[in-house]
Amino acid sequence: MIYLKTLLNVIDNSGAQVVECIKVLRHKPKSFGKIGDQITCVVKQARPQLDSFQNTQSNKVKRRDIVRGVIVRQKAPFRRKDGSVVRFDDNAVVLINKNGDPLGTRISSVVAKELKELNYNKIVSLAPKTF
Amino acid sequence: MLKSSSPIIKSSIIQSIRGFRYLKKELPTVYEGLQPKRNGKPVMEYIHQQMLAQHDPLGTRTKLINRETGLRSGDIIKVTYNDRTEVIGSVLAIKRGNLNLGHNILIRTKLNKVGSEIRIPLFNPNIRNIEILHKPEKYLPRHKLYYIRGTNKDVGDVETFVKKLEAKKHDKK
Repeated sequence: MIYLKTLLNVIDNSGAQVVECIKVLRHKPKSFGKIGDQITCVVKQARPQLDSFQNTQSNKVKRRDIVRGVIVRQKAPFRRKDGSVVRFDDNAVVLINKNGDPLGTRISSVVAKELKELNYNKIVSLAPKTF
Repeated sequence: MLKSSSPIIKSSIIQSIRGFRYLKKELPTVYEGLQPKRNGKPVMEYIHQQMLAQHDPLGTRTKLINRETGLRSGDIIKVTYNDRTEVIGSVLAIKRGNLNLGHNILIRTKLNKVGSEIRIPLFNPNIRNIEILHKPEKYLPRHKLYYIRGTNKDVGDVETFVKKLEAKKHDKK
């Protein structure tokens, strides 16, 4: 159940760590976002930018940026078509651009299987595991 | 309709003893009772057994949820689906249905340090096999272990734990 003001973990290497949802896209005002939904969010906490001459870490986003993301894990239990019910321990998001490609180049933890059916194939192939 | 003989005789005997006879009307005829359906077995039990015969002909799944000999929360199981995908996890709770196929098993594991849970219907036809990988020597109290989430009693990475166990067994051999 992701809606206005929900804080989500970012699990890619785009530079953001925690984002806050400000809009669930293509939803009615009173409904909430679930796995596979796109959201607009604000970066609340980002990894510190390294010095310019070292230039080993390239953060694509910084604090207070408005970015788009896709929900990959949710805490609220959701039902699969075979009757099983899945739940994760946190709400997590992967940042994407407007075409649906991920901003980062790496994903650090599991994502839900549902993303494959929703044609987020790039996210699924980057992820170390699906559950 | 057939008039059966014996009940009428019985009633006539009773009436002769009574002494009072109802003169204005004829006595109503008494028929033999119908045969009980399903040999007198309750409907729900009968349907339940039919469903079990259809969905679990070998009785393996029913054995799993036996309260004495089957699974207990704390065990580690591996669920294999028909498309060869697997889920390994520690049992957190077993929900049992009454005279239906609504049993399900809640398993929990940690994947990349993220706790993930799945509640699997026991009689899902897409499930090929459910295997018990490990039974702990000492169980935690209670049958529903919801309270271990996020505490120091929480499950670890079950997959690596099972791999280590297998490696230990291999070394002993």
